[in-house]
Amino acid sequence: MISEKERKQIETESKKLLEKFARKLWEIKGLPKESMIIRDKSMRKEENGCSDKELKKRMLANAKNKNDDFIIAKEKSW
Amino acid sequence: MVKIGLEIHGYLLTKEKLFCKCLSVHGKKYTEPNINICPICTGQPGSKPLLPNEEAVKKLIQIALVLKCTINKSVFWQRKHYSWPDLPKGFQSTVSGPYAIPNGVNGKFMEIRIRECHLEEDPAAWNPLTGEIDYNRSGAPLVEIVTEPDFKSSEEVIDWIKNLIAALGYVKAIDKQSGIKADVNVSIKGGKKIELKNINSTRKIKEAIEIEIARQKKDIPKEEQTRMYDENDRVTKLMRTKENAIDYRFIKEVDLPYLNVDLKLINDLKKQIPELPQERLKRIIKDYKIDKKTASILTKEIEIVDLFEKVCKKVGVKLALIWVLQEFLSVVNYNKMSVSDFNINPEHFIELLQAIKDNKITESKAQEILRKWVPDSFSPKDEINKNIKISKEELNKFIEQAIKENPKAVEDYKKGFKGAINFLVGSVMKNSNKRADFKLTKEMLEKKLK
Repeated sequence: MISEKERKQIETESKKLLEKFARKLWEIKGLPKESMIIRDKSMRKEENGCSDKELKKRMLANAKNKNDDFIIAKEKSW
Repeated sequence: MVKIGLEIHGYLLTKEKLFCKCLSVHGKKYTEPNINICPICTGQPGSKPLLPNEEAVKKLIQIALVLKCTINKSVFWQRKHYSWPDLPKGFQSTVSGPYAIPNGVNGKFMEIRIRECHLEEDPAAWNPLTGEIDYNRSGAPLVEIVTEPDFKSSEEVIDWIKNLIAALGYVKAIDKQSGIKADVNVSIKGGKKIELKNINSTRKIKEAIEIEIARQKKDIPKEEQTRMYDENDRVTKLMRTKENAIDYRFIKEVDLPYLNVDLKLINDLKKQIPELPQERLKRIIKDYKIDKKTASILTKEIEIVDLFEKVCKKVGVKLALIWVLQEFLSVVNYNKMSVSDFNINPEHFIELLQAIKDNKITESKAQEILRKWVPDSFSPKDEINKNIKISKEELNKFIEQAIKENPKAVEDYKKGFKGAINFLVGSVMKNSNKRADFKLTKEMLEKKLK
């Protein structure tokens, strides 16, 4: 288990890393011109759409905080 | 000097979500929570997006054409990163961002310049009060329309949004039930731009703008901020200092190819765009000699104006106006539905109105038939034949019966309570199964009770 102090420190450091990464990313001039993925088409035909109650059950079974219908993510606790 | 710009999000009317085959239906009113989901839209590890839904792309292009944008024929997707429970994969796939070539650019709608309009996926719905997450919304296709800051008042904004919604309703591109969400940028002379986030009704947009302008006049903003509108306290509250594109760590979406649309598709979609509300309003006023207020109501929804134009050619403007605008819309409102929920065959409507015109049935009977057309109309022929308007002789018998059966109402009327006659008319209507002419019944009753 890590202490609250260590948790805060990890949080601060990871935030700094992320910001540094964001800045580096921003400095890249231009993007690769070619697509990174090749497909014959660029769109798919729409069908009628579907639902899946089983996935809901599986997701809720694995969720830490939940009620009958939803995963619950309270602010600052995820 | 006030400058206002809008970023409007609307749900595109599609059956499936943008990158998966889940039903694009969300909201407590319409579906059970968290059932229109799959590994793609819930961001399960290893899942990859399907190619974008063609229907969403077509709707987006039609919107861009309505807004007179230039369409970019080849665009690429970007990942916009942020960490929030409504975004299970950690990024949103969008055709916006710092490197983006938006789907449509440099348009104009009602004198307001459109900077861009683009396609993106919606995050899930997260309720900040309960913490509940509904992934039904995750991945639903959205259009974002970004205007230049050309608005000068809240009234101008609301009028423009109403006209925009009407125009997009004509091309059946956005889901009107789900409404729109807007981010509103407000600035006054000498101050920095303030973004008001996620306002979801025209009433709230108007209030938020007016309250924010008043706040800025008292305290000119020195830094860019993102604020939210609290309608209970009627104030805007600071959410955060404005995020820059840098914070979103935009990168090219590596799992999706370029989105290419050819000129033929653009031209085909252009041909499908009907005459839009503004033009139609002018033509309706001119062609049918009706006042602007009535014509504005008629042209608000394409289904209404289409029905009116088909019907009035056969039965005349006056009758068509009364029955489309008053009678039909009152049935729509009574059933708490929208016009597009009804499947009204204009031929059925014409048959019904022709029967009134030919004096075959009473207006009350016609109203009764109209009420049965929810949600699908049917030929009123049988109903008309079963309910032919009664003759004057038959009506006389029903009037005699009503007078005989309701001596108290007769007495009251004779004493001067003129309203009592309505009771007697009602009695005739009931006994004749609404086949008696209302106006004639009243006239004959008044004559008899003199």
